[in-house]
Amino acid sequence: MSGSGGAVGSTGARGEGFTAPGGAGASAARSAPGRVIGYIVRRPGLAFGLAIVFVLAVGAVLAPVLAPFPGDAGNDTNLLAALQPPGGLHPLGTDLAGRDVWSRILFGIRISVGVSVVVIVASLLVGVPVGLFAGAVGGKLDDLLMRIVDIFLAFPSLLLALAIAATLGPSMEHAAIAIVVSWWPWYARLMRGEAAAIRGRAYVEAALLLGIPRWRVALRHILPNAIGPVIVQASLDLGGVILTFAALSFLGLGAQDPTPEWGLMVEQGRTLTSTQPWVALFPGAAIMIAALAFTLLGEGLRERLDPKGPARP
Amino acid sequence: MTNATPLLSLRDLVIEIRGRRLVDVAELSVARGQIVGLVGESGAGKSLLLSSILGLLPADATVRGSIAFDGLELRGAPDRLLRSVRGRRIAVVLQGARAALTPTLRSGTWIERALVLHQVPTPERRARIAHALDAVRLDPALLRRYPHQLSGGEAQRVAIALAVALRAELILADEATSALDVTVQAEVAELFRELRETEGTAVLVVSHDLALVAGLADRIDIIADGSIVERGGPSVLTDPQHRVTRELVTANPTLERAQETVP
Repeated sequence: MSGSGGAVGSTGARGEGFTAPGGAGASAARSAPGRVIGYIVRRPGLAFGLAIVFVLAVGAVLAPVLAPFPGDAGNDTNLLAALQPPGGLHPLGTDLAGRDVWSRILFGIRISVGVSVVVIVASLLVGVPVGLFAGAVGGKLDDLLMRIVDIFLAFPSLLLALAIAATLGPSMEHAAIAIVVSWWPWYARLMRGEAAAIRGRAYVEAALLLGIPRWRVALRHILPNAIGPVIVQASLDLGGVILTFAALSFLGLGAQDPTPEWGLMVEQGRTLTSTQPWVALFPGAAIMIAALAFTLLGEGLRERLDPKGPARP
Repeated sequence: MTNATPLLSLRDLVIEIRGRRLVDVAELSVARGQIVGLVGESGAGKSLLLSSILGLLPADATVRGSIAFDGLELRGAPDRLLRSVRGRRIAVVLQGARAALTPTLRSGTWIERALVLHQVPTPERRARIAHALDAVRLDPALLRRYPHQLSGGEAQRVAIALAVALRAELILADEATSALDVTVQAEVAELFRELRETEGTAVLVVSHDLALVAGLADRIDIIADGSIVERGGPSVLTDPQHRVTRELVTANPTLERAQETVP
């Protein structure tokens, strides 16, 4: 009955995600947005990652406005301006077809980052329900589902995606499907582990003892308490998916010319690295920066949502 | 339904897990408005017995015998029937207090949703919750809090308030006070007594704490190795017959003193 107000610090187990830990006394007085900003500012990695992600989002949305040569992201070619060094009209130079590299990188955000986000969301939409079901139900079905997941996980993601993309034929859609197929089992397994651990918690038993049907217990009492580490893993994986997608395109199994996909752009400049390095260098840097941003974001979220989170090898 | 018919009546209840007989109770009943204590050491089969009443035993457990609640046979009853009894007519208050509340739900949401689930009409919900909070002396402001922002005693009151709001006829208290400190324990025990007076709620108090149960229950059943070995009023304390009862008495220094002062 003590008046242990809303400023209770981060003492509970998984439930602690609701008051801002760190400086609990001072932050309780501030508004909710103020607390969020304060939390981010104290974590330079998270702040940096968020800033880059924000810049990427703005770049993707405003690409037609920001790009000096929007047509170069499409079918335009300008062979007379081929392989111009950075400077002047072309801040990052031009490629073999005379296309503005900066314009193509800007439009490439939509492809490289956009497709990766879709791939992650699709993988979550498959993996989370499978994992939740297996973890919440347990028993033989759990075993069966997890053995299927194990089969997928036995292959390295990139290799499996490569095999699937090669079988389906080279295209951006096929590459995306290939990555989803090789990626969802990670989320299924992670979700299953979290759900199975939470299934034994007292509040799940209490929910069942209240007469709540099992499926609703899984959705409302297990899922919200198990999803944190999965969200963290998904944001960390975005960087990995960007790299995988770029790798598939680099190998000719993903996006096809003239799509301004970063991995494909690196491939197109691959033979020119000693003479015209800007053709491959800048798209490569874009891949690295985007992957880094999502990794920093994921690490920042991990601290918040999954303090004891498992690291993926 | 006369008063003579017990609200809950277990007969020849046998629970086996992988061939091992863990519970074997010939008879155990709780009348309306009665507080019965079920006391035993850990591993005596208390929790298993409780889980069996609401049909939530592990999948590999087999149950024989009869579990009658207000004329309904609950053993082997269809899930639909069991779900309508769980919470609504038989409420369970667990040991964990805070751990028994879903961490991502505000305590008010948790209560509200349970009332919706058991089809308490919207206009009635508010009145029932207000009454329940009053009955357990809980500040309505606490309904906006998440479990980790509540003390153990407050969380336990939230759980009991829900039982009151659902108008449960029977509360199964599974070591409901064990995790609380002594003064809060006494408060929760007092709450059970009050609910019996004001709401007519029957309580089956399951505990290893003979002292607490002795001050609360109308009747005490001592369970050991899955069977009731001794039964009686608070006199089981002063004149224990069975070895396990004597051990439970001597395990508790305050009881021993009580024994010495009571002639």
